[in-house]
Amino acid sequence: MTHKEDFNAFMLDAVAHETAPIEYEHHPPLDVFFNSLAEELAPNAQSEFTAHVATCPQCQARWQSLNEALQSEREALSSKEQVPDFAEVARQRSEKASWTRRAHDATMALLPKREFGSIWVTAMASVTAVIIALAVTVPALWGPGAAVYESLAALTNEVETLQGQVGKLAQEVTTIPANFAPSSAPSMEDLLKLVNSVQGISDPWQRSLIIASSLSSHGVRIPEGVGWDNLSSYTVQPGDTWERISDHELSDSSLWPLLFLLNAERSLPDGTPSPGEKILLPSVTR
Amino acid sequence: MIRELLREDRLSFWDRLIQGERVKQSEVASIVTKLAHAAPPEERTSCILLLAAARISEEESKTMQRNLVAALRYWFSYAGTKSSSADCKNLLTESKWRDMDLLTCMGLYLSWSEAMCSVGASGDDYTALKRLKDTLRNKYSKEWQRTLVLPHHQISLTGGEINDAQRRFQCIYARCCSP
Repeated sequence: MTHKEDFNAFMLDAVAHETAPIEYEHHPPLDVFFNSLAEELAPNAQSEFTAHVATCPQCQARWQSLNEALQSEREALSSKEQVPDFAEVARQRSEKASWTRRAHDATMALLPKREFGSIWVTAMASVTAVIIALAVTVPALWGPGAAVYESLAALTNEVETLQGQVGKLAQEVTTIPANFAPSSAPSMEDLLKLVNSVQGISDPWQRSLIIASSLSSHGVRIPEGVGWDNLSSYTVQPGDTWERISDHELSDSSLWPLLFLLNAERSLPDGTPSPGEKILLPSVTR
Repeated sequence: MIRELLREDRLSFWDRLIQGERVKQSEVASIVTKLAHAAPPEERTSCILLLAAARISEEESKTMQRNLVAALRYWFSYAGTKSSSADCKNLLTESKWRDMDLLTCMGLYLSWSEAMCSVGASGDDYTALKRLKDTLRNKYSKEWQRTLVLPHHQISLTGGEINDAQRRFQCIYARCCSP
């Protein structure tokens, strides 16, 4: 091919060579993808990431699907945030006005004398208001006043009592301890089922999402002090149970499902900890 | 392996050019330094092409620089796997179109009009592509001549063979050029 030949084809060949797949042994973790999409990677890290993804079909497909998902989320969000423009607001107001006008016209049509309709309606409304006011105030002032006051006082007391009860309940709700374990805490059987159900899922992100939502549905809350960055190890002693290890090592026996899920592969088939096995423990700061 | 590392280095420069950044030729020269003695023709082609593009980005007019960005977006959009979503172009926000990077544009299969619109130019300016191709071709020839010391009439787009003396010169030149 000489330089007089099709330069376009030459460029496409050159680009294809530049982006030809490379056999990589390691791939960037998922959080690097997210940071790249959020434009939070340092320039050097972004360059390395770009070069990798551009030449790795597997990561390219992943990046494309994440990017498309992000774009459609943004699209959905922007459509929700859209404020109706002035013309739209004016049209809605006009429609509302015409609705009230139609209601007014219909009322007027029912009245006997259309030409004095508005005055007649106003007069009727005023008379009704006066009658209602008299009906409320007269018995309170001259009628069986004591009875009315008594019933009002009883009602007020009742309302105050109810308010006190509600306040007490609210206080109880806000002072639930962090390690509160509801009655629906997962059983070992539940957790074994959960572990089996996520075994076929290769994407760690999806797997962790399923586990987190399942724990959440069972009311298992992970306290803020539990960290996953610095894991330590512990050798299981004979007679140890997950609850006991959780109680001794994490000072909280209700966190045993987390310990089990973290070490499911190192446990016995029935889910109990295997004596002599080294298991991983999260860090706990109190 | 070294060849692949070189390719990764070049891709980061292509990425910057696609985003409309100016790339200095002195920056790209470091890649020529690493160009191996017996580099295959495609490697030489890619390096010289990048040098030529950097020269346009550094020296040419604003319009030509803009045409270069559009053309690179156009050519690189045909690389990689075609985007699975049919309306992925429609999903791109205005800022994503404007600041398109290598990863965004790969697989988009842009038309020339779309590439031109992404740089804020008129979509029906097809002569811009021709002008850019002429300029890039000239720069490429000059860079090839300058770097690999071949007479102009012997230059072919895919490089061709060069002798040992020329390879040695290439290495010495590369060393001198490096920052």
